[in-house]
Amino acid sequence: MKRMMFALAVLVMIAGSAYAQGTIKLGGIWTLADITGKQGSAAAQMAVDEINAAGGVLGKKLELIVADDEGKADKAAAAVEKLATVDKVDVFIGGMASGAELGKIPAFKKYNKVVMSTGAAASTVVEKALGPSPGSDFYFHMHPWDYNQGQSYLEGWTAINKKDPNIKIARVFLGYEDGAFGQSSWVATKTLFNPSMGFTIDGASFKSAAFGGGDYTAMLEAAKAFKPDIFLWAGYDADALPMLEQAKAMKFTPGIFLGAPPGWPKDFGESKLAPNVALYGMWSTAMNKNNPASDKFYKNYVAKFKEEPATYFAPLAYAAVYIVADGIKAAGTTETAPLVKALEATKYASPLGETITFSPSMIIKHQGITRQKILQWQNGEQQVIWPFEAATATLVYPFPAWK
Amino acid sequence: MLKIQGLECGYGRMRVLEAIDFEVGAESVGLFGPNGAGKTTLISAIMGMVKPWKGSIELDGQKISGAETYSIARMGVALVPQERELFPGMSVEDNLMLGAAYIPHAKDDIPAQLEKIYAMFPILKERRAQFAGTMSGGQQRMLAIGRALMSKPRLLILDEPSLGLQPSIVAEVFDVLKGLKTSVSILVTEQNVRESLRAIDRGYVLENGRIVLADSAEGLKTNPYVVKSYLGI
Amino acid sequence: MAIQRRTAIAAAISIAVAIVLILWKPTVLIYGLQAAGFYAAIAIPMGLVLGIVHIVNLSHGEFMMLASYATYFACKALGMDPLLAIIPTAIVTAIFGWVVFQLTIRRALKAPELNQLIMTYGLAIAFSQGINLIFSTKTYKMPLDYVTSSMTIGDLSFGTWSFVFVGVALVFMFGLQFFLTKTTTGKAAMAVGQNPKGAAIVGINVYRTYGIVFALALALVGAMGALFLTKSAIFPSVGSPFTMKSFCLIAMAGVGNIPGILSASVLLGVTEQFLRAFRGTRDWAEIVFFILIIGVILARSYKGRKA
Ligand SMILES: Nc1ncnc2c1ncn2[C@@H]1O[C@H](COP(=O)(O)OP(=O)(O)O)[C@@H](O)[C@H]1O
Ligand SMILES: [Mg+2]
Repeated sequence: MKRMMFALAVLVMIAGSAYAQGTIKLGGIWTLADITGKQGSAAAQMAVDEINAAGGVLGKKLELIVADDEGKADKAAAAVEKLATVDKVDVFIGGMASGAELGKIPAFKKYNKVVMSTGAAASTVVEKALGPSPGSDFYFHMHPWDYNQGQSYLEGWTAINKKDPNIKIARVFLGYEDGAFGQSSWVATKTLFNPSMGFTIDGASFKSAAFGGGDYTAMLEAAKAFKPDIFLWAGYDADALPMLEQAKAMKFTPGIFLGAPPGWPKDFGESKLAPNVALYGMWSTAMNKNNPASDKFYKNYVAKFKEEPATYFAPLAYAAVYIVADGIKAAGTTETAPLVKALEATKYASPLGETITFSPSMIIKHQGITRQKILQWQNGEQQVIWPFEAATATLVYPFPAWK
Repeated sequence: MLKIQGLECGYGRMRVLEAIDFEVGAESVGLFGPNGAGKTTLISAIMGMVKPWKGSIELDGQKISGAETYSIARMGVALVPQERELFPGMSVEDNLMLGAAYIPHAKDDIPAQLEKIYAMFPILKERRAQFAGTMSGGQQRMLAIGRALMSKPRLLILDEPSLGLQPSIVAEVFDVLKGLKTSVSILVTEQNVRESLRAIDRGYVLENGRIVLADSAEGLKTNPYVVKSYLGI
Repeated sequence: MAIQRRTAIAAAISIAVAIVLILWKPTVLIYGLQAAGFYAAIAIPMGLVLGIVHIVNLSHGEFMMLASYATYFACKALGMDPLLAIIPTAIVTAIFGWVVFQLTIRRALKAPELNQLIMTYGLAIAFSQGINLIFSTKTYKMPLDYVTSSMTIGDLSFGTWSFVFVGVALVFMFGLQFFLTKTTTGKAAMAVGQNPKGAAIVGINVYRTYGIVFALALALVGAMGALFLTKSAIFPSVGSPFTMKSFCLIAMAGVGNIPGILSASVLLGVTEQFLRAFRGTRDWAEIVFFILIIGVILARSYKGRKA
């Protein structure tokens, strides 16, 4: 009896793998304990399901195999190895933290399959490790590099100031958390808002609540004394509301109150303190109004998972699957060289509010999105202020006095 | 009062006591023997700090072997340990107070008991606010006795009360014991056999974990073996 | 006599420093005291457990985190203010602590201290990972109007809510001092901490006393957990840094010295704020923590050697 069961199991396994040979396999790597990875992998699966329902790719079904990198470089490298050797995937997608991405690069290079990367902003870490073309041509980087982001902030605020000269941006103050993230933001902001371009910049650090801090008073005192046009803070989601509370208590009202955490706390928009806080981002639900791709993505996602996509990593992963599928269709194969060629011609109207194409960045050949958006919390939602093409509202300025 | 039958116990796998039959009535009993004979172990077994392997320990007909130390203490057994075991960072008065605070038949009578103890050991009254740990060895010994008496014990056990004391204080301690004899049963272990024979009615000699001799104080005083081994004449 | 003189000198110096700060940099004193109250209110319950009954509890911060989560969701469900939840949370956390104590820590009391460390560290991980599994790493923050309460004197506007923590720290400190020196149970707790064997001999149920002290400390942790919610956002790892910080404050105060925790917190809070107030020293504020700890401990051991 036992032996028969075993034989049966072996049969099923063989049959299963034979069936799987009729599929195109995408290997997705995310940090699944993190909301970005949890929702990113879900959105990617949703895209796979949609494509399969519409007939698949080259007559085959798409299959998404997900591996967890736990946010760690070594686990990420192991995930690539496993997907490449055990699951024999055709294309890789996913990614978020730069550290984990760095761990994958040697294995990516070894297998030389197409990678549609949805994360990793740290150019000095990840882009440098990838190296120039042609060695890194298999790698398609959808997410902006940090210098792309910085450049787009400068571009955005300059454009806003040009359109309405009443909106002053000359004095910039950065409150930055004292870890690596904040420190690098400080370095980047100083070079970006350069005195030679007419900016006056100052900054002070604080200890993030994420690491046992949460007292922003000294930093806010320094900011208040500086009287900035733009007050910008680089910290984590846990800092967002307590910092506003302390700013209100000490009656600190800069012209523009701008936060740049990697994510916002749940229900931030519902707080009485949230209105008119500006932020950077790539996607917001407000875009559903004037962007059909965003609207379709959002509605399907909510219907399928009964929750809102909380960060832009969900639509980004969703877009990654579509771009790969379209590329394979165009190339007629998953072979790396022809697929790279096909992907270079990508013109995908993404739910992120822009048409994604690939062009060279500082080091690599295939950089996707380069702009971030300037958003502002209005009516519990993140409204797009800039780029003006995608705008859903105009900037409320100046930041109103606390009541 | 206290009745031990066929007691066997030890530490880990090492047996220390074997076939102990032992009794304390309304009297004072001495327990003698060389260093390492097992005197402290026997007391620990009575107090529930060492669990018996075999045999029984009864207090007034009630089995106490296997009970927790604190409940044995609450039944009226007070111990003056060899190492005193005071609360060094608390005042003399708090040490005394705690001697009675958890004993059902003593806790409502603390002020009166304190006065009694202070009368018995005036030095403790003088030092009542001082930390116990800052006092001399002799004073600490008195405090340990005072703390035990605070609980109004039925059975008072003293483990080598004269250890490390100067002779004048030893005499004082045994005078106190003699004075107590009428109101409380006493079990005292001693290496200072000569001094303690003054204060006891009966005694046992323990060697290598076995009781080798049991007799009245008079009998022990004249026993040639005791005289040779313990009285050092 | 010598001690009295030293206390008098310390008090005089503190008052002088306070006056100078009020005139020169009032925010340093205001925010320094607020920070000190916050630190102390979290560290004092650990001071009780560590200093009085010598249990090394590495899950201290995680217990507070659990209390905060419980308060958050209870308040959300009932539409209640977290301030009303202080006492219920204290009670629930104390009961939870009692159960955890009986099931785990109690078994490690007689074992070497390393076992306690590993066991409570394991608890810490289990708590934070458990919360992570249920609620993910998302942060939650209770929106409350009174936490932005403010006071304006001349040009100076500052938040006043955090002074609550100074009050809480004082209540904890005086309450525990009263408990330990004036009540029988408190004295029994001291006795158990100083000599568990001696305590058993005088009829104290040692394990029960450990449990009571642990539960009492957790009642304070629970109360603080509810209050923590007014100031901070919560997420699974929000508690863990406070375990280390509390440890260090206790080390600075000297194990067993509960009022000392408050002084150590004031020293730390005011020094941090002082350094943060000047451009040149801003980035020193984090390091000063360690410098103060090492300095105070070295000074104490030096004094100990001389005495
Ligand atoms: N806690 C303990 N663990 C292991 N062995 C012990 C312990 N206490 C005493 N012993 C051993 O038990 C024997 C009896 O010791 P003890 O009862 O202290 O003798 P006494 O009090 O007569 O000097 C000795 O061999 C001693 O080494
Ligand atoms: Mg002995």
